[in-house]
Amino acid sequence: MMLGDDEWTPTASVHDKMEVEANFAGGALLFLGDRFITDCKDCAPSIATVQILKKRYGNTLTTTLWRMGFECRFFR
Amino acid sequence: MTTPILRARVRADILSKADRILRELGYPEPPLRLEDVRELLKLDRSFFTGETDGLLKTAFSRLKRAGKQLLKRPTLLGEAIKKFDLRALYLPDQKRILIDDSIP
Repeated sequence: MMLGDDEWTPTASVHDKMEVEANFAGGALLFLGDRFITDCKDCAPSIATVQILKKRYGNTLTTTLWRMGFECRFFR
Repeated sequence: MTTPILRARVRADILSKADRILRELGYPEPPLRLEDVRELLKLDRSFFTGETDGLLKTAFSRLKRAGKQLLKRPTLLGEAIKKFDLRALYLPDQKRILIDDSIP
């Protein structure tokens, strides 16, 4: 245990797992579940689409592009 | 350091909880207002973090949330009636229909 840690302090591996779960949940909420996937499929694959969806969902360019690429399989 | 990968079951669990929140918010238009999500969780956190959300649990949670909101703002019901211009209200448990005087 590091200085200041107590029995409630998560270990590094637990902390990492929690981070991943929190990121996944945050993404599911901010991109409104399946709504983003539907919007992606309704648009042509382009950088302009990324920018439009970035504005629409109020998220960053990076997260929008990531989501389009990996969740929506947009860029094959 | 490797990033852990979520198992399918954990992903499904998280997605169902996120969907529960979005459903109770009425599947809002983007962008999502996080203030609304926080308010919803404040009203009944146990429902949104619980494992199951059957019909009865959902109904009970909605009543609980409505009750809490009314306690916070007693004029909320009056404002809703004014806003939606409600002229009649059916109370099934008391088997009564309340009608505004202006309706002949």
